[in-house]
Amino acid sequence: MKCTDARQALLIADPSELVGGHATEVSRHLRDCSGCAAAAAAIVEHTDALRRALVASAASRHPGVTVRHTAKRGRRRWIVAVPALAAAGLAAVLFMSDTAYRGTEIVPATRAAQTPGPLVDQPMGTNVAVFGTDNPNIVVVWFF
Amino acid sequence: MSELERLNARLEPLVRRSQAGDRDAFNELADECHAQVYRWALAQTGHPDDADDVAQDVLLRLHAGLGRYRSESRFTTWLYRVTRNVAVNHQRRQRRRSKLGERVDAAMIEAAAEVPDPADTLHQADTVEAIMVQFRELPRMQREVFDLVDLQGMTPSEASALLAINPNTVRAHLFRARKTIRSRILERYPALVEDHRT
Repeated sequence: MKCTDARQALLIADPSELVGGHATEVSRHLRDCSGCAAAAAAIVEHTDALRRALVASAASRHPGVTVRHTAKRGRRRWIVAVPALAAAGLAAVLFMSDTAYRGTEIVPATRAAQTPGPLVDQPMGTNVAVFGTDNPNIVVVWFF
Repeated sequence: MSELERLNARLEPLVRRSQAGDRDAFNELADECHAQVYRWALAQTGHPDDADDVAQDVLLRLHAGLGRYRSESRFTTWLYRVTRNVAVNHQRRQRRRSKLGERVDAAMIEAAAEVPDPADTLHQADTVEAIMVQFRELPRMQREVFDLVDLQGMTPSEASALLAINPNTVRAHLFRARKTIRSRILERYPALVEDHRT
């Protein structure tokens, strides 16, 4: 087999032929021709590298899936809980919280107590936030 | 026994226990099959992030649809088809996105470049990146067949059974994929080409 033909054959040969272990024409040529054997070795090496890359990718993306059993609207449902979903949920809650608080004032407990208006008892050891609403007659007082 | 058959042998008892309502068994099943599902998804979508989405979706569908699996085919065959359907639907939704692997997973490249000499490592990483892009740019069927046969070690007959296509079609896709990938590999070694020309 000529090198020109061997190079074409290398492009489609079975991987086992590329290591020269077969009795095929390509394998025989590779045993005798160091140039074509080097080309075959490069193909084998990089195909292995591609394989390792894909295996590594699959291994590194394991999600750690767990299943929990929950009840909703009286019906049994299963959910798959994934850490990313939990993080997304937390981010959503924080975002919504941030949106809800925008335009409100969080005041120290002492100042809140001095503000004229309806008197409320502030539980010991808590902070207080006072939210104005569109309705001037309604003020939301939140102890936290 | 092929790797896929071994996986199937591990999964079948878990499937039966999951179908009987054993939650721990389902967790174990999801754990066991995720890497393989991701791998199939990666071959089908060509992109790690898309493969992640597909793998997650497959696990959800697996949970919802496991009761419909009736052992008429191997579990891995059934799971492969579920993965394939999910991947196809996912790609329909993603069609507007830029086509292919402009983002190459750095961890994948590092894992592939296991050559001790730093200069070799750089060249190897560079080459693997180029090959990875080429792998992603293959038409979907070529990529799937190349992954199943040349990277996962199935025979063309096994791949044709899994894909439910003619073995000759599998070989045709395989040869085209090999030619593309291997040509790209050899392009990275001009000295080898020069050597051949002289």
